[in-house]
Amino acid sequence: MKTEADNKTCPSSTCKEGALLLGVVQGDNTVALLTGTPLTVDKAFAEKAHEDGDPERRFRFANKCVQTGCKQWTGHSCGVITRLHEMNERIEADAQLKPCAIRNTCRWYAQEGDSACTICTYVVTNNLEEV
Amino acid sequence: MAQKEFKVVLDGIKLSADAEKRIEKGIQSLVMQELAGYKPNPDGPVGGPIKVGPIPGRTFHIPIDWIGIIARDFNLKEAKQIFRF
Repeated sequence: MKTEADNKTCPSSTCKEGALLLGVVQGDNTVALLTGTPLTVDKAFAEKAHEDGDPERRFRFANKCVQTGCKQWTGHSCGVITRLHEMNERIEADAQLKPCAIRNTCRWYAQEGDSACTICTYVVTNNLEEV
Repeated sequence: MAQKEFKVVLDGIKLSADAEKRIEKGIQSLVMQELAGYKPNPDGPVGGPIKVGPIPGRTFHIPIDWIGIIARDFNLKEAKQIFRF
């Protein structure tokens, strides 16, 4: 039987067909969230976005939280937002949250509440140096 | 950051549900085509290379690598010691 916990959305997923385009990474490495009707990644977008390198450096994607199917899952929660929250505990949640297309089902929001939304816009899914 | 919204107003026209769906899909498809090639605009207000610096109203915050996904905040003194600026 499916529970509500099974239907959460990962806000830092990879670029593949069917994912939602959540935001774009700006020049200062913050993320501008796209609001309104969620834009679904199609094959053409995925192919074009990969032509210029890792799309996860330039965009943020959302997709179904697969829990145990993800290496970030700790067994009961998402380890990414837990760790980010611990390391950014001095950051206070924004008084007014920015609009977000997935907040209602967001795994990070469900775990950490408003402060997750504040941290979220500073997260680039892939910020590893290119070699 | 300016919010950009594109609107088409069809006043006095009643389109079929299918037509409205096609228009919506077409607009979304066009937006996705344009965004696929998106790169941060170097001429934009926040463009240019990524710089280490304070985020207004925030503590010092620097993305670092941790399985590709992590961020950490430093205070200014810590950051100056690490990055020597």
